[in-house]
Amino acid sequence: MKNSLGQPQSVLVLGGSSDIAKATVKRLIAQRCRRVLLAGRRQDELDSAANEILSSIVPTLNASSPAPEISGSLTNSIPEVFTGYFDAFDRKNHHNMIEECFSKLGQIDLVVIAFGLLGDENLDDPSSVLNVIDTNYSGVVSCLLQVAHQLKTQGGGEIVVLSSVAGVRVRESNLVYGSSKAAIDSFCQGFAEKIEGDGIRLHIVRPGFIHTKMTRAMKPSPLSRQPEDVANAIVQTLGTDKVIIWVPPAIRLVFMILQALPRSIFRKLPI
Amino acid sequence: MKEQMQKLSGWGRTPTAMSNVVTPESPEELRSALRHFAPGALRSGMIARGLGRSYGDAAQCSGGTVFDMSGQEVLLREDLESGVISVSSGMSINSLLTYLIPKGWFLPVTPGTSFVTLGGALACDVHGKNHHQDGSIGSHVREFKLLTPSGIVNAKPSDDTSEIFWATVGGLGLTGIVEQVELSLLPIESDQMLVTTQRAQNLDELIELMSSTDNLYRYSVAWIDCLATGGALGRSVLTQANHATSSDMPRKTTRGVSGLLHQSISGFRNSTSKQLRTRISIPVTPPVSTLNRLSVSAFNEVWYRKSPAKSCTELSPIPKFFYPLDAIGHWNRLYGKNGFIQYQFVVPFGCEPELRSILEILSSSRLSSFLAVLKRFGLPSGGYLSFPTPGWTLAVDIGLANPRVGSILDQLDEIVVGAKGRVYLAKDSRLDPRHVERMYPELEKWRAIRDRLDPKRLMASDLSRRLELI
Ligand SMILES: Cc1cc2nc3c(=O)[nH]c(=O)nc-3n(C[C@H](O)[C@H](O)[C@H](O)COP(=O)(O)OP(=O)(O)OC[C@H]3O[C@@H](n4cnc5c(N)ncnc54)[C@H](O)[C@@H]3O)c2cc1C
Ligand SMILES: NC(=O)c1ccc[n+]([C@@H]2O[C@H](COP(=O)([O-])OP(=O)(O)OC[C@H]3O[C@@H](n4cnc5c(N)ncnc54)[C@H](OP(=O)(O)O)[C@@H]3O)[C@@H](O)[C@H]2O)c1
Repeated sequence: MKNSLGQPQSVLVLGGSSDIAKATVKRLIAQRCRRVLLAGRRQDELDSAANEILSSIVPTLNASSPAPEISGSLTNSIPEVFTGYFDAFDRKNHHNMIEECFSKLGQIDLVVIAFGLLGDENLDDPSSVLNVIDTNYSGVVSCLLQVAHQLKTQGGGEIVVLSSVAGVRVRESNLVYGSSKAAIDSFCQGFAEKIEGDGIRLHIVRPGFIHTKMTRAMKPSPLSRQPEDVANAIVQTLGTDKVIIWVPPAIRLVFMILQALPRSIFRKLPI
Repeated sequence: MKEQMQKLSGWGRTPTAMSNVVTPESPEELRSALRHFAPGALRSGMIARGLGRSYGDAAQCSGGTVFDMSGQEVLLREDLESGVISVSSGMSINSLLTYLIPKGWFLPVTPGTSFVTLGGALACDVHGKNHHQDGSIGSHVREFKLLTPSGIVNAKPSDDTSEIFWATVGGLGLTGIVEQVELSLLPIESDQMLVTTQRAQNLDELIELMSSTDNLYRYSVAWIDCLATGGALGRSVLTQANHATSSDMPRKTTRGVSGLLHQSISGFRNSTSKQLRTRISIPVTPPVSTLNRLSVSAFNEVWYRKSPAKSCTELSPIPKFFYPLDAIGHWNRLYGKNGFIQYQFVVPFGCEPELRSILEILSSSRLSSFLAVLKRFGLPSGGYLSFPTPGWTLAVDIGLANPRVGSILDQLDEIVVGAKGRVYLAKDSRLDPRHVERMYPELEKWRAIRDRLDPKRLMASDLSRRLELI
């Protein structure tokens, strides 16, 4: 059960090996989070994510001066991190997979939908284009419907969806990824209103360039940030009514300007 | 019987989820509702709710069933010769006092608001300003009827049902639903209090004053200005009181027909019942908290200056002395839509240094607290999860605007636990579950008795899940 400060006690991550999700879970277990389920399609990646998360609190167990959030008498008890199989493509199994997650953790306070596919923007390969749409849009929508149903039954909860600034104004260079994020972002805005009455809060995160394995091969853009910055922004928003989270906050202004630019100028920008 | 999905929260109005709220209108309806909802509770839980004056999530059950008991206010039996009364658990202290005071009786223990039900008061084993003398309400309950998932029990404090009794007193509704309560009353000679008010310049002075004079008064409470720091840390106003006896009352002199002076010594005026009822209300929730540091510190300053520099004693009506905040309906809305937390803890006598450290942290972090309330606790009642233990108890209201609230309160928990103290679960909404066992050493015993009454674990609240009580 989450507390009055919006700190969740149990968390489900779909796309459990995402770098952004790992950073977020590390922050949450430094607060009240006691049970985590990392769901994804590659067990080795999930195992190493679970280890990485747990070892993030272990150093404080031995440190002479405990970290501010886990301190004193509490350092001796370690949260439980489970892993489970989940594939965004396998939509006909989403119902069962997500139901299983809920029966495993009992009450789930927060669901983070972190999986995502960048793709290669190769329009000559329609199947790779559709994979991106299937993952980032159809896959997320399918999960959202199941998750919202489960949360409604337990009286409410919170959902975080990783969108992207790429969807705010789609460029030629990222039109597949960008449009899939634009679609899921719009869906979520409407869906957030729809499920509010069921006691469910939905937060849409719009990060700029974040240094993760997804962007490893790319040249960082200005205002690039670390996964920890996204994690901090998410943690601060939990328990509030804020729907859209920009990371970093300043990037909101950049994209408001980009959105307002006439097409003739926008297409000439070196982005 | 009404049934409705509803977003519930405690008095702190911190955000929360949906429960199915069922309002039984009679004991029969309650019993059949219990049978009806029990199978579903296997998965999603059920819990009783009174007037929702606990601050956190004790009286709600997300996704489960909540029995709203507050509508049933029935006086079942009374013996006003010996001062014993039996009422339905939904009876509010406000209604009961409106009835009792004119008859010369008062409740042996009352919390700082009259808008609580007796069921809620029992389930939290509430304390009043007289704890140092009279203990908590559990010590004055003679018997209650409890509906548990495994049957109905009439529990008494000292026969073979005593374990059930003491698991339920302070048991946060988790042993079952209390249907009726029988309790002893306190005789009074007037509806007035004889109140002595004095200032203390700092914490040392206050501690000394309370320790040396509390035994002279049935009621004692100090209001500390949390924004005072340094040498003024703990600057406060101490009010101590006894019920005014008929000889304390001013003699109302009226000129009778005969022309002779005729003296009335009746201590009861009609005004008390009226005062218990009249209220003004904060109508809508301001989007942000209207209580910022400037407004609070100005208030605290005026409040301190306004109190008498020298000790002074005067008569005060019961509602004004016991329930000053009840005159303003929905004052909790002042904290804005994010709500607030009330943090209350007790540390044993001898832990004055810890009390001071906590006050220092509160005042230096400027969590924008109006006033903190300090009381001395006397003997515990015997409830396994009851809060009061001998020592100093401090309660503060804390808005959620400051992003450091969570970590500062976690730090205070460490001090409290280190001092073998505890926080009050009826007011909690954020404690780390790993602290509960150390704060409440009888938790294991309570769990064993609770599990006997409810082996399938149907009773549950958001608080019991958050603190992993069951
Ligand atoms: C302004 C203010 C001042 C206060 N001052 C004090 C004080 O001085 N001392 C103090 O001790 N407390 C104080 N409190 C807290 C309050 O007294 C308790 O939280 C009390 O339990 C509230 O009663 P309620 O009827 O509103 O119960 P709720 O808040 O509705 O419920 C509280 C608990 O009681 C259980 N419960 C309710 N009815 C039943 C029933 N029929 N059977 C079984 N369980 C039941 C619920 O499940 C829940 O666990 C104060 C609160 C406020 C708002
Ligand atoms: N990094 C950025 O700059 C940035 C910016 C804006 C938004 N985002 C979004 O943030 C989210 C997290 O990304 P990240 O940066 O943390 O990248 P990441 O570390 O690469 O995480 C992406 C995760 O998605 C998983 N995934 C992909 N397809 C899946 C499928 N079909 N089924 C199950 N899991 C699948 C991957 O798991 P596998 O190991 O199974 O592939 C991987 O763990 C994504 O939605 C991304 O689009 C990232």
